[in-house]
Amino acid sequence: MFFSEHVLQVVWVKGQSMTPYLNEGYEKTHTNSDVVLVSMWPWTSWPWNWEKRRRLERGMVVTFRSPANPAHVAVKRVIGLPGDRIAAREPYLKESQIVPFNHVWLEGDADDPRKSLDSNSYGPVSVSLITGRAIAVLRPKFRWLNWADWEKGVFDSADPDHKHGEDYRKNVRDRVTKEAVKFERPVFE
Amino acid sequence: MYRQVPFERFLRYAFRTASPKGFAKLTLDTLGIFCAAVWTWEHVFTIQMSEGPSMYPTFNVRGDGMLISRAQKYGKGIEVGDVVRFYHPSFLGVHGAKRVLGMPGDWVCRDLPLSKNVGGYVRRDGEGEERADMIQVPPGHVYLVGDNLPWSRDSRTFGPVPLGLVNGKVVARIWPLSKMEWVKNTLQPTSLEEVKSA
Repeated sequence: MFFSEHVLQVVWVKGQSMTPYLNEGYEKTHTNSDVVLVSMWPWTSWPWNWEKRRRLERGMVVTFRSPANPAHVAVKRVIGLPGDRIAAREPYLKESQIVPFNHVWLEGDADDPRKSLDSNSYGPVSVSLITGRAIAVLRPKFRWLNWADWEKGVFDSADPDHKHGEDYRKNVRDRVTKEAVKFERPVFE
Repeated sequence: MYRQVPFERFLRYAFRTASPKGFAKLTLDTLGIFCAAVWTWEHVFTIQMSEGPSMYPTFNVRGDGMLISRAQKYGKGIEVGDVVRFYHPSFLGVHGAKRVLGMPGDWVCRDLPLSKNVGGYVRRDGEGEERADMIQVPPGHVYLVGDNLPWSRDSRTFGPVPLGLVNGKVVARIWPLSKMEWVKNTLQPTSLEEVKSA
């Protein structure tokens, strides 16, 4: 119990919102469910840095309690960090949104915005809702997930022939204006 | 003369009986107890000192011990009028305790931040005026308000809170002992008998 809540957890990913990154063949079978290893250890560094800070970078795949339905744990990719300006996709009410302090912009990898229920429907998500970070896929084929590949436009380090295009999801990255606003930690009390 | 070693007899006993196997067993037991304690703390109950003026008449500004039931994690079995504990949406690692005013789908009046009045208070400053309006709490969210209206930052400031951030229900005050009591749900509908007797 303790281990699965604080160190590592195995999660079954259902649905098509992360296709083709996870659940690759979803269009064909509709029964795919990748098994993902999730690291629940939240802090960047070890006890010598006591500041409570969760390391989040653009491109990380995280698990979080869905704001729309607390019984559901969702898996999405971090698109924008606090201070970024996002040009939002279709269901969102405003054209652009600045991500507030301690919030992130999460989106699915699906090309079609209707296939993913993400920040475009419920807005920026509080970092306090995030539970863990996906570090590897266990099934159907084992592979490590490397968040740094996102900025480079590489689909996967094990994908030399660029199956998913030369610059994977460049259009999504182009919608993000990095650090449009510089935030300082707001005062508390 | 030699120096007196504290706990000499205990230490002698410990060294005499020490063995790698016994050491391993001790480590394992300690680890087990630690994990069990953490599990209880996170799933059964938590005791925490109150801090901040936002719940003032119910909890003191500083140093009231609150007993928090963790069975209501993620808002299971929460109803209007309960005091819940939640992760603060805009500060990581900070908890808040507030009273539930609206459940998903309820209509509530979103008063202006830190206003003293309830229900459509209008603030006039300079040229324009700002009006509080009615909002519907979105699915999966709760509307939380502190008991001390002008000194509370709550859903009036940061909007409805996702139920996923709720991590418990404050059930009792246990410290100081002289003021020990259950936390009452003050937002229950009254019956005619109660009104008559009052």
